[in-house]
Amino acid sequence: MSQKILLIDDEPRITIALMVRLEREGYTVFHAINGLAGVEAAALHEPDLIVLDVRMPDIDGFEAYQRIRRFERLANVPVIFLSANIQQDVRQRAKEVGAASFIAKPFDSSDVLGQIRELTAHQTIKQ
Amino acid sequence: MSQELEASAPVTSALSIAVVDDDPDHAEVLITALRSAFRDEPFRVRFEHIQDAESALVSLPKDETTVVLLDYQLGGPTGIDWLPDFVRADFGPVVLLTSSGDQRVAAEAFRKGAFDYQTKTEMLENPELFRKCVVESSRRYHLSARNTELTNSLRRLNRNLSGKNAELNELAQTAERFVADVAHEFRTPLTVVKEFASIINDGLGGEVTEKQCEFLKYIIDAAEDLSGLVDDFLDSSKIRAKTLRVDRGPFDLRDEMERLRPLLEGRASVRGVAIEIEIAEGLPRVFADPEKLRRAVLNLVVNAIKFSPSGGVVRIGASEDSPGRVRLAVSDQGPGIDEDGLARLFNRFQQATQGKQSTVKGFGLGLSIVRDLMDVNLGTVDVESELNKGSTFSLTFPIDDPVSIVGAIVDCVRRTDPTAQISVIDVEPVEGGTDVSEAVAVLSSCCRPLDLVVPNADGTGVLLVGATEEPNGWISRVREQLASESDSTAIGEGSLAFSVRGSWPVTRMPDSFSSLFGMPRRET
Repeated sequence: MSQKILLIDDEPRITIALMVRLEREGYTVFHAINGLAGVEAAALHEPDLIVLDVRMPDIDGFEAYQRIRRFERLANVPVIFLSANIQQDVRQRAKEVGAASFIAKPFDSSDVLGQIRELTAHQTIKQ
Repeated sequence: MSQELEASAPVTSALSIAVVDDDPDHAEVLITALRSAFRDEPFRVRFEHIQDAESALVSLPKDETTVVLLDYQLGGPTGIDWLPDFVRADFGPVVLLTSSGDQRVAAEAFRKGAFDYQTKTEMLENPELFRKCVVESSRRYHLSARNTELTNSLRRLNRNLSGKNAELNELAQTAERFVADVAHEFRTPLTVVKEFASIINDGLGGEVTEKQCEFLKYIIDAAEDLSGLVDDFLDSSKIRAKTLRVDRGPFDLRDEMERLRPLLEGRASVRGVAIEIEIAEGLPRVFADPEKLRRAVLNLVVNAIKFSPSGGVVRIGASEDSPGRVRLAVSDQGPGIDEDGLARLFNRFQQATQGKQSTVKGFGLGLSIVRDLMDVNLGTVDVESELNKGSTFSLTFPIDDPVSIVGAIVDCVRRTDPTAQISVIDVEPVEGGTDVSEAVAVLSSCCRPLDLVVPNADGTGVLLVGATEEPNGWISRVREQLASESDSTAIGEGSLAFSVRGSWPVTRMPDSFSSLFGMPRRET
């Protein structure tokens, strides 16, 4: 069974771009358009990895992150923060809350894919 | 004499002298003496006798022309007892008169706010002296009143300025937030443009011709350019607002350059330019903010690519140029820059106009940011160029060695302010040094306690050099180095002592050094 990736971003064009890449790589991709929908989708699909935008209209990425972590079965799913805000404090905060990675927009898709591949491979080994 | 007094006195058109004395005869004598002394005065002088202090306090007008001559002997409570009431009522200056001189009474009188203290006999013997005493008291009273007024208005101005200052700070913060927001808004569409161009280019949207691929690469390249500009814009705004966070530490330059290689090669290939990276064997780990250094290098390389002819090579080389300093040089085979252009090069927003390169945009902002980024990396930028041969831009920064780092800090401080005098002090042995430990606590969040500037208790500034790794090893080496190149004097005591080149005023430090040393802005 292919691994599941959940993309949470209020910018659908970014989501589509990532989906095109990830599906080509053989991942099953789910997506959510805002933070709350993202938390629900995470609980529903139990993805192997989550890509999470920081700035969203309802709850921000950090809030969504905390809520996702409250589900026991999602406590260890790797989360990559994605943000157009490359300020040091956001990067720092992502590190502090225990995100697997922080990727700045505009991102290099090969970099994103590389990191996702690495994190999901790592997870498979763990399982 | 009288002329002199008048000249320096505030304009007085009238004087009202109130004699407060319970003895009408005494008062009469005093008034007569004064009247004759004031005979030649050009302005009107009024005399008034009031029998007791209580009615004086009720009846005296507060018209700023009054001088109160208060007798010590008033039947009941003495003039000294009444003094505070007169001072509080503020009719004008109060001169305390006594029958006989008494040092203690005089002292008490002045303490309680009398403008002068005189004995009646002396005053009566010398009416001219009496006159002067009255005029002088009035003059001093007016001066002091004016002084208070000025002080108050200064205070008011100061308050206004503080208010304005707060307003400006707020504006600056708003502007910075705005820039950050704008940058954010730019990045998202940029990502979309770049991503879809690259998705099409990779054939994920269907088959593409070679020509289409080439064109798509131009789109991607331009999007990269824009994204670099957004970063420069944001950095530049933060540098000017002195809020750029710096996170310096040791790292391997080779690793960092390898990480950067695909991006650089991607940018170069669009213009048919090759990238060569050559890092000297055995180069020690460097000490810098990797992100900031990366941005500086990227700026220089993108610039070099733009100036390179198609088929040209951009060479990136790094070696330990002088002991403790790494030189990272980026060379192009472009047309070079003439002397005028070189001079203008590092001025903010200035384009080096040399023949057709003047059409190459984004030159000035990029380079001035490189310089700023190197400032926060304790480093420098310089350029060598030969017309028709090419240009080499070099970055220098310290290796991860305390002596080299301290040397770089000292250089950096001197560049920012050549007259700045630098204190270097070891932070580790400070005991109960609340200021220092607080500063370290504030600062340790963003850089290791090795190169921080904090205020000294005596109002001077210190450059903190942490002794966390080897308490006795390198400090002495640094001390030697600093001592050898300056008339350094020791400050502090015992293990606190360290080499110092004087001190600099603390008030100037936050501005010149907050960004330099990666100090976060303190909430005030």
